[in-house]
Amino acid sequence: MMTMFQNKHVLVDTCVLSYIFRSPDIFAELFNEFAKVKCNICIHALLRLEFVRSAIGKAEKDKFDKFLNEEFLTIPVDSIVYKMADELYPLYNYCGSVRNQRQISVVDAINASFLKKYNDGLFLLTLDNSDYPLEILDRVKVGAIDDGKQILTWGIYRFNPVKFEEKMGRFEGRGRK
Amino acid sequence: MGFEMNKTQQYKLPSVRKFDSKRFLKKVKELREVMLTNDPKRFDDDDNVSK
Repeated sequence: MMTMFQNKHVLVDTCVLSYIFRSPDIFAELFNEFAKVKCNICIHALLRLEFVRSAIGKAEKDKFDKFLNEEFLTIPVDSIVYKMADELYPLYNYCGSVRNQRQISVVDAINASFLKKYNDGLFLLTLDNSDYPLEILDRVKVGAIDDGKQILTWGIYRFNPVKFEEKMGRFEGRGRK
Repeated sequence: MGFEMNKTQQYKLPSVRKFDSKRFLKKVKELREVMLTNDPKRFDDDDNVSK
């Protein structure tokens, strides 16, 4: 099953970055499964910012930065991603409004834009499964984490251009509602 | 809206970096200790799991 991630990249959502420190062994094991198929674990600048903002004091922030620099590949957020996010917002909210969900966050939009930009080369690992609409994304793998206090479900997502085009058509009034 | 689907498939990510699970685990646990020293109740609140 992990072969689908062979030589690909997985973007790690902020919730996962935070949870790594609650259950280090579970995530070390999961990341190792990705490493076995040469799948790179990565973040982007806004994920980094969202995680590092929880640091207490400069010394802790510096340690966060060092850890992220050494263990994760950071992908730059470029103008292409910004433009995609800008265009994706209304569609994403349209998907959300159908499901009566809250508005998309900036980081969620940027995450989805990265998935779109890199298409089948990039996946997203998250614990916040409701933030990623299956109207435009595929959930390709799920798993459970039992840390003794609670059970959480992680999901891995990728962009689906066919679903996207169909949803875009409906959104723009080109197809059936 | 104008997404250009063909162009999205041309973008490439950098090559793979080596992941060492033992090194990773060691660093996470060290940093976890720092975090708990600065705030012993840091992981008590389940709401903090999410961003």
